[in-house]
Amino acid sequence: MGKHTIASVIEGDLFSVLLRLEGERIDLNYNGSTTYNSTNVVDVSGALSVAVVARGVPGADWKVTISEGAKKLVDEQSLKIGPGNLGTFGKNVTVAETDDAEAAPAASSKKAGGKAGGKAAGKAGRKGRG
Amino acid sequence: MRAMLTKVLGCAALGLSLATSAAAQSAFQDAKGESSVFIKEGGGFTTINPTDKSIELGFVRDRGDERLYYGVNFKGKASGTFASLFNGGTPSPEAEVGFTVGKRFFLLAKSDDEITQTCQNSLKVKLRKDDKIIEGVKKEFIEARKEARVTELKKSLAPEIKAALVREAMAKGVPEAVARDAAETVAPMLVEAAAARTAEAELKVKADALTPAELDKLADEKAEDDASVLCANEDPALVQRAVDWLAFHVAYNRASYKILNEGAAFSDQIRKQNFDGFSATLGFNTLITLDDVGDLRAQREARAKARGLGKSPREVAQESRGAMILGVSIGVRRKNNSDNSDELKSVEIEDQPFASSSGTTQRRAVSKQTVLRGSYKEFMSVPLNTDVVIYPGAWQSRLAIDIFTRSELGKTDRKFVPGVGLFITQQGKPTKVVGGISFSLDDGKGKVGLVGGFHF
Repeated sequence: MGKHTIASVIEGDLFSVLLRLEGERIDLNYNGSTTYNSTNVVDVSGALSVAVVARGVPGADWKVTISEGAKKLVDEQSLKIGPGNLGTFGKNVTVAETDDAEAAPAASSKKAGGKAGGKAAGKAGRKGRG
Repeated sequence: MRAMLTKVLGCAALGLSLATSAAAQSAFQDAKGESSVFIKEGGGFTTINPTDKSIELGFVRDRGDERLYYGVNFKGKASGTFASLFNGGTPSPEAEVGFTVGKRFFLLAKSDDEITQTCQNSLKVKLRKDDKIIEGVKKEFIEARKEARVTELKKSLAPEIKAALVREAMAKGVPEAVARDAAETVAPMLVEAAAARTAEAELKVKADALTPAELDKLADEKAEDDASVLCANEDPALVQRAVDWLAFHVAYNRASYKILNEGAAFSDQIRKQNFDGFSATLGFNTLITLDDVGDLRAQREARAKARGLGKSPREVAQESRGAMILGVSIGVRRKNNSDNSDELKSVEIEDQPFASSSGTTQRRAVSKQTVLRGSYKEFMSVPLNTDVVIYPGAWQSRLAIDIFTRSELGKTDRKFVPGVGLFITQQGKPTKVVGGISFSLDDGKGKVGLVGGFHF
């Protein structure tokens, strides 16, 4: 119901990472070492849903930080890849309503569009898949 | 350094070579720096390898998911001293350009994206039918606006509440100054509570006033949000025996050598030899869990079932039995024997174009250059490498054991080299090797290799 600029950072010695914000896959940029990040404008209805699936060797540390400006919406610093080479994180977090949301709550459409490392990467329209 | 390490290891029967890795493609290397384990690298990178006397620059575009990743790298190498790479005095400079393309989730039927999308599409329909979702929508509607409304209300309610507190205290005979001080202390708590109550009541009215169309829209979106979170946390299909990835690398390299032929006429003894080489390597890796996949799936199913019954999901704290990386790579490479010190030795020669003496003083002009001495050959190489890297669960991935083979299937120098390596990894970073040692058996001779990891 409101547009929010969300910065996502996932860190860890991982083999693969999948991030979904509001159910939409987010294109991440990998820095070559341990950091995956992206900044996206996301239409949030109610709470922001964050879902991460990470693969790695058991015992690998990983972190999820989701921020809006200086405010950290998610700050999970001590996650570990567990049995099955799998690490998952899922949470709905409340984000304060923005001004444009009050105008037309019914007209909202969920989509994550924005920047991954400075280039447009987000997209909508993947909901019909699967 | 090399000599010192040789002494330290001091094993007369073993030849020693030293391989150092600086953020190389894989830290699980043998004595010659070879491996079939392709740990992905992304972004831009620079590698300086004193042992290989090379410097490498590259860039890999990688999103960390199932889509193709690709990269390019440039490498410069000296076969003289490492410093010669920089000062231009190298006798045999080599340059290489390479391209890499890779894909994760290569053999698996479904990637994590496909698994979670399928789960999400199915679960959101189920969640949407649950009557409780409307309650949840209204709760989120209120929560999202509450903070801002409470801030507004606090500003308007504060003076009113403070004045009421002062009036009440004065009515009981408390002096005005004391009453005002007391109100300043007590008021913030009362204002906060009053603002929260008022905001909640106001927003509840607004939430109840949402039209059916608005509620439907919000309920659809909440169902999808909840499904996305629950699928990541609970979908049993995410538990898979293995995750795999395939990498293909092609490279072209150009090199120039000076070859010394002592048997030729004096003017022909130093010959310039150019070399155009290429290589193509295909590597397949898979990360396999040593845990009981059926048990892990059952645990996730139980958590999903407990939630459906309105119970708290059971949190399972479980130690892993460990993991294993299998790697196999095969390639074809046009190469030469310049790195075979048994056949071609790097020697320094000097010419004295001028010499004179005056009394006891002798003056000489000396021109030095490094050349390769021996029989130069070019041939086709077909290397086949395999690695089995085991992370025992008991060591919490701080120890990796690499059982490997290095084979040459080409017509020249066919060989089979088996070996084993032990590697210590960084705490919490199982693919970042702090140090390791490998033992291999090459043509009946034992070899020891040391690997040091420098990650920056």
